[in-house]
Amino acid sequence: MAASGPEEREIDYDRPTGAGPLTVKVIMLGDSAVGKSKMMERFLLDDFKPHQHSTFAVNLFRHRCTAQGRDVLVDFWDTAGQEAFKSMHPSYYHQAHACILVFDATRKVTYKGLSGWYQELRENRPKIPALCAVNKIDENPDVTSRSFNFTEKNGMPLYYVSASKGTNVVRLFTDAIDRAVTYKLDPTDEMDHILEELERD
Amino acid sequence: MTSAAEGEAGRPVKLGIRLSPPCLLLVYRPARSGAALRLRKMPVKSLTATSNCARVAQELRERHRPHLDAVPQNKLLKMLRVLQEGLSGGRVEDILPRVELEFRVDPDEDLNQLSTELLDRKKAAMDEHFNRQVVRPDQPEFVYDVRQDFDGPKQHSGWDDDGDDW
Repeated sequence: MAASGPEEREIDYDRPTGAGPLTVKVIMLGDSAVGKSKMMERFLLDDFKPHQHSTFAVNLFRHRCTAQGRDVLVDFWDTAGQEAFKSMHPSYYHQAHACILVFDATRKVTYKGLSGWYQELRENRPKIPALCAVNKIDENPDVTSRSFNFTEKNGMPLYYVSASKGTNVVRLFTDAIDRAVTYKLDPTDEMDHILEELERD
Repeated sequence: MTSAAEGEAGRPVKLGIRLSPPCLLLVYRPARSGAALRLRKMPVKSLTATSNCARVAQELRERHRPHLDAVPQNKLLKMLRVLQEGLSGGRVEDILPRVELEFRVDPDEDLNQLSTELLDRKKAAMDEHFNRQVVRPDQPEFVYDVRQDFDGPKQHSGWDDDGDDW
């Protein structure tokens, strides 16, 4: 792959797509050590090669796939240690098409942390699809017979995931891509676009 | 191919330390079948009170390749932390309990607030479990897309409190 090729370029995810793949951005949120990167690695396998963003300390993973019959280029944005501030830079949310929120089946404190992440997500992206994953179910199998108010009240799908065994990892990411594509093709929140237009000036 | 528990050099049996001068000790059974146990002494010269132990561990792994390949990272980091604490004196019996705590994951602790180095110790402890459970692509039982439904009746997690406002 050439360094200057289209795979390496930073993308304006809102740019109307002409020829070439549809570009979408999927962001990961959740407390430290819940396994966000481990899940990414399990999904991408050999393609798990982070690029550093040119300006911000985040890890980017570019993934090419087919969704809804379209050629799709996905950028996954993963945190690179900013959890300490319990907050991400607005650029992390900018133009995102879907979000995966993760907590740890063995640590209740990470479930409690979701409310803060979700609030910040909605301040920045009021309408994008959000999916929730509880990781490490192999360490606490009991969690798979449990329900959680956070996902129920917010009408969010909950995925029971094990990054070590691979359980439901591919399902989670392919569903997230699918929802991101749906959102991009038919955004439900016109306001998002108007705001972004203003920001670009 | 060698499994995760058995490196090219053989199977690690015990990991130990000598405080002064700082030295890591590895007892291993060589890969050749029937061979007797061997002891490898690895001086840890670069360690200071402010060293980043993860970096020192990486140096040791490279210098003594392949002998440390099959040694779990958290075990190695723990030994280096004991050596590091021992630089300013003290007995292993006193140092070890303190160091053990650094590698223990308290399920109620907010790990977001830890420094990168402390967080790495907790992650190393978690990785030990992960590495025991993980099914890697080069294993015959590996399946890329593992789907499992958990559709049965659900009980409430008990992780929500009355005051929670989602």
